[in-house]
This record gives sequence, C-alpha cells and structure tokens, in this order.
Amino acid sequence: MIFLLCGLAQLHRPPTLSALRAARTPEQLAQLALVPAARNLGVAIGLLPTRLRAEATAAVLSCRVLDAYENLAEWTVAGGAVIAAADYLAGTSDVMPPPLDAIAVRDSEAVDLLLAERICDVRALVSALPAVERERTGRMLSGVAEVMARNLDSPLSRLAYGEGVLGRVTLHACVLLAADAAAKVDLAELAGCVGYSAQLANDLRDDELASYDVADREELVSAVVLRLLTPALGSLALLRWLGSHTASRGARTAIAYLAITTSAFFCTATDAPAPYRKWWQLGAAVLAAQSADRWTTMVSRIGHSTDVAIHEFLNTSAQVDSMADGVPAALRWSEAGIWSPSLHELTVETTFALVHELPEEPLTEELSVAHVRRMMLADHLAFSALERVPACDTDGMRSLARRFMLASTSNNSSSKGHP
Amino acid sequence: MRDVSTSTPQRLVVRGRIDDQMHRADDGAGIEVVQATACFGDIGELIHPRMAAALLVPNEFNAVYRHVLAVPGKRVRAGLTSACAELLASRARAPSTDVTGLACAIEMLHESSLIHDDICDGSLLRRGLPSVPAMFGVRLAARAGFYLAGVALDLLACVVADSPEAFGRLGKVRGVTYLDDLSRLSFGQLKETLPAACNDAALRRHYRLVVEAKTGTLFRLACSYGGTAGGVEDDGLRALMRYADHLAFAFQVMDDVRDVEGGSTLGKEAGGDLDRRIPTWPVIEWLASDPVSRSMWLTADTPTAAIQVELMRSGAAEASRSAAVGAAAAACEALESFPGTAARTYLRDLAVRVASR
Repeated sequence: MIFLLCGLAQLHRPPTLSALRAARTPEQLAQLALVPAARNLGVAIGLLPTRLRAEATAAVLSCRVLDAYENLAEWTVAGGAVIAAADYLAGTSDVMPPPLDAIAVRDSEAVDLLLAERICDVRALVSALPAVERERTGRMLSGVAEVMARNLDSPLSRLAYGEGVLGRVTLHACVLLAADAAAKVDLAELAGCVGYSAQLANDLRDDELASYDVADREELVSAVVLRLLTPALGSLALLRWLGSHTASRGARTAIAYLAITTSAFFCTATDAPAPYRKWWQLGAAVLAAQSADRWTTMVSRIGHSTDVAIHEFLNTSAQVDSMADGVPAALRWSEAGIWSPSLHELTVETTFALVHELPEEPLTEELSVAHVRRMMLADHLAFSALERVPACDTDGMRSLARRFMLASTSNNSSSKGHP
Repeated sequence: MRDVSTSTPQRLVVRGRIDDQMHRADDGAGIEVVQATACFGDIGELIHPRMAAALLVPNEFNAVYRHVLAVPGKRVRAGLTSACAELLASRARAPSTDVTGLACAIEMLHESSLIHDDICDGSLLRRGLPSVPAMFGVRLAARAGFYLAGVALDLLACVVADSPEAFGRLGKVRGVTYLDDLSRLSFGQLKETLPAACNDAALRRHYRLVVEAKTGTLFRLACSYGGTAGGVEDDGLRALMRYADHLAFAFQVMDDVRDVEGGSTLGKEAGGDLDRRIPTWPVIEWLASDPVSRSMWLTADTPTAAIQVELMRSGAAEASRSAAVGAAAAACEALESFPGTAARTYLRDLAVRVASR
C-alpha cells in the first residue's frame, strides 16, 4: 500500500534523478524508478501481489533500458546495441552494450538513460528471478529487441511495431497474471491489440507526426482514432478474458486500472467523456476487481466510452443533430458475451452485427447518419482484419475469405442475437 | 494475355492541353498506343467469364451479381493489373491465367466497394441502372458486398499460392502496398466525412489524403500485384506506386468535374457531392478563386443548384481539369524508367484518357 501511495504521488511529478542515482541496491533503484519510468503501468505494478511484482518490475525496467538504446543510441549502431542490451539483461551474454552518449530531452528519456547507465542493476533484478520467470522474461526481451532492431533497420508499420514490442510485453503480462489459463489459449492476437492500442496512445502523447505522415496534431488525432477500432475490439476481448482468469484480486485491480487510464487518455484526446472521473479511476479499478459482475460493468463502460470517443470524433455538428436513431455501437460485441482469441472471428462477428442493423428495405433516399456510420464502421472493421494477414499468407487469406462468405450468407447468424 | 491482332482497335481520344503534354511523353508511338489500348483495355472480356463463374452460383446473391455484371464498368483496375504484369516483356512472370485471376480479384474488390459506397452515399443509380441497395435492399447489398470481397480474397489467395516464385516478394518491398493496405479504402471513406479546416492548404491536403486512400488504394494494389506478377524489380514497383497515386488523383478530380457538370454519360444523378457538401477539387478551386464563394459554401441553406452555377461560372472546372492533366503527366513521368513496351504505352494512354474524360 505504501508503494502504491508513493507511486500515485510520484505520477505527476518530474522524476528526481539524483535520488535514482543515489539508489544503493537494484531493489531500491527499482522502487524509485518504477513510476517515473512506467507512469500508470508503474502504479499498476504496485497493485500486484509481491510474487508477481518482482517479475513485472524487472521486465518493465528492462524494457525501458531497451527503449533507451532504441531511441538514444547513435542511429547506425542502435540496432546492434538493442540486441546486445537484451542479451545482457537476459543473462545470455556477459558483454555489456556500449554506453550511451546522449542527452535526454524529455523526462521519460532522462529516466531511461539513467536506467541504461545502471544496466547492471537492472540485470540483477532479472537474474534474481526464479529460473522459469527469468527465462520467460529473457525470451520476451529478446523478442522485443529483435523487433526494435528490425524497425531501426527499416521502419515497420505502427501496427507491426506496436504488436511486436508492446504486444509482446502484454502477452508476457498475461502469462504472468493468468499463468495456467494463459497456457491453454493463444492470446497473441489479442495481446497484439493491446500493444497496438498502447502504441497509438504513446504516439499521440509524443506527437509522432512523422510516423503517420501528418502535418499537425489535429491530423495525428484523426490518424490515430481511425486506427483504433479493431485494436480496441481486441483489447476489450482480452480485458474480458483476464477478468475471469486472473486469480489475484490485486492483479485484477492492476489490469482494470491500466484499462481505465488508457481509455481515459483516448477519450480526452477526442473531447469525449472518460469512463470514470480522474479522481475515481483507482477506486473504480478496485471495485471492478471485486466480482465478475462489476468487472463486466467496467468492461462495458470502457467499451461504451471508446465507442462514444470514436463517434464524437467522427461527428460534425450537423450530423450530431441528425443522429436521431442512436449512435451505432461498434464495440457492442464486448457486451454480447461471445469471446474468441481470434481477432478475425471478433471482427467478422462485429462487422455483421453492424450489418444486421441496416434496414432491409430498398434504398429510396439517403440513409440516416447512424446507418451510414454503421456501414462505414463495418467496412473499416472488415478491411482492418486484412491488415493482420501478411501478403504471402495464403492460408490466412483463405480463412478470412471463408469467414466473410459464411457470415454474409448467414442472415440469421449468431450476430443477430447481439444486444 | 489476349492476342493484339484479334483485338478491335480503339480510337485514342486526345485533346487540348492534354495532347500537348502527352505528346512529349508518348515517344510518338501512335500506332502502338492504339494497339496497346485495345490489348489491355479489353481485359474486361477476359475477366468477365471468370468473374461470372465465381459469382453466379446458386445462392441468394445470384441476382445481385447478375445485375452487377450486366453493365460492367471501365475495368480500369483490371487493365492496370494486366499492363503492369506485361511491363517487362523479358522477365519471368506469373502465367497469364494468374494475371487474369489477379485482375478479377481486384475488380471484384472494386465492385464490392462500389456497392457499399452506394449505401453510404445514398446513390440510387449506378452505371445508369438502379444501384444494388436500391434494387435489392440495403442489408442484402451490404452482405453481398462482403461476400464479393470474400470471393476476391479467396481468388487472390489461390493465385498467390499457385505461383510462389512469382509472388515470393509480396509484402517485402518497402514502399509498396499489398492487400494488408486495403483498410485504407475504408479509412478514406471515414476520413472523407471529417471536416477539414476551411482554408485552402488544409482542404487540398485533406482531399489528397482521401483520394490516396479511397481511389489510390485499389490502383496501387492493381499495380503492385500486376507488377510483382510481371517480375518488376523493387524500384520499378515503387515507381508504379507513384504512377498509381498520380493516376488516382487525375481520375478522382475528373470524376468530381463530371459530378459538377453532369451529362448523360455520368450514369448517376449529378451534383451528389455538392448536395452532401463534400469539398471536391472543383469546390476547392472555386473557394480559392472567388471571395464570395466561401460564405455560399458554408451557408447550409444555399441551394446546390446555385453553388453549381457559381462554381461553373468561376472557371473552377477548367482549373480542375488542368490539375488532372498535370497529375496525368506526372503519372507518365513515373513510368519513364520502364522500357517502351505496349504495356507502358497503355498505362500512359490510360492516364491521358482519365484526364480527358
């Protein structure tokens, strides 16, 4: 609890670098650096039970070191340095990566730089983990570093990067939080959605105009929000699953807190109301972790807020007035009780849930704004599913094609029963 | 590929400034232009039976697709696919049946997007006939569109799987887009609904973004799959992406001009975009040229007919044509690295025809 309160207090303060430098042990460094380095994720880790916190802390601080090498190392050597740092942190190599000779511009970079300077201490946190956890963390770090290096070599799409880096970290977190259950189902696609959503949030926070080839903040918000629909759908699916498969109440609280704060960030960016007021975010997370019903309520509320955020963004003032027949709930699936680890299944189901609400009658005049929006969102969901099929993956293409065809010819499919 | 000698020669329509610009780009190969136009332009005859075989199966969409196939479009995307596959005559490439398959798949994706466009735009007519949603109902049209996209995807998968050597590079060439970029189509649709700031630079940028997404996506796909099938190397594929984007701009601007001008060949009601207050290129030119235009455009109850009259009087349509001609010339320039084959001539001719509609 003390850890949590300290973390919350630190959240909105600039990091105290001198205190971090003065930390005498790896554990002390971890305690002081976690929230400055990982912000809300750091607070969430503070909510975990002790046995989970050590691995989560080691993993997150190690990732910050990799981030430092990715962003602050001299460009021509950065890829190799990231790989070397991962190998060193994982204990598969005793050769330290080259020291960083960089000046941090942002507070977060200053913390990352300091952690990179103290890479030996961060490595000690990983080394102190039991063998299974240590190897698991090492595999995650290697995977993350490999994607970072590829991105440095030739920029990946934000989708590929988000899934490859933060998606991998999310998958590691799922295995950590719901170990036995997570071993029985492939959560990679849904974890990738969380990773991509988080990457979109990071890019919005950091004003990454170049990555989206946009001219200003307004265009960046547009580019990000229009990409959010499918990853939000997958993220809500994973959130729902984690609620019923995470044994620790503290871990459920941590997950809920992260979900609530991340959705609030997107809502704020689009001037939409957040699912919970800022002062109640932690309380709402604690409450949601108490029971399955409360968890479901939280997931629905986040889904609804995200829906509203997307619609608020798409609305012009003229259209808002004419949206008399209601906002189409693109993410309504999250309330329907249907779950699948397959993003294609989720997107196709949701696509046809939207289609089912279109009028059956022949078109005689322009449709209402809400119906037009339904059709556009259905298209966007369906085509977004293709983004995740590599161009050479003919089996994946065929599988998705069959899903489309089957769902199209099943006018009375399960989607009809969606609320 | 269809034998050129059996094709019906088509007359190339070149006029005005387009003629001047294209004369420079054409190497003076007039006869070749006619042959090339006939050769690749008739791809519709090749793909029609294959599309019919794939779509006219006994299911609830049979009548819908019969209606769609009854009045085929210009098959621009099929022509692009086919010509890009023939750009380097000497290179090893996928069999012609595969190229036809690719062309079919791209056209089916296009037809699918048109059905859904008609729902979103409330279009009652398409190619002079009732649109699919107007004839068969909105929901059935939406489902038929998705089924069509599924058939296209399945066909594309079959073609790619059949020629792993030809398509091994799919998705691996930087700056070249394939199927995983298809969501830009719907991205463009949504983006188009977002209001851009009413200043010239923002409107022009917004327009280009929407065109690159809505029109350019399938043009790029046609060029990337066709070019890959034809053994075009990485730089050549990137040149084809530039060609596709310029062509898309010229194509869309001229579509907008036609929507403003109307006429019997339009195949749908004129002025639809003006009705919906979409800032098309002619509108942007009008807003830039006439200080009074801004208040007319922003006043919700200004009759569309009044806007149409003022827009035509301002010379915005001519300015738009000029922009389309410039884009067509840029598209031709993007092809300069390719040898002077009939396929290249066809692609250049296509840019000319698009800008002279």
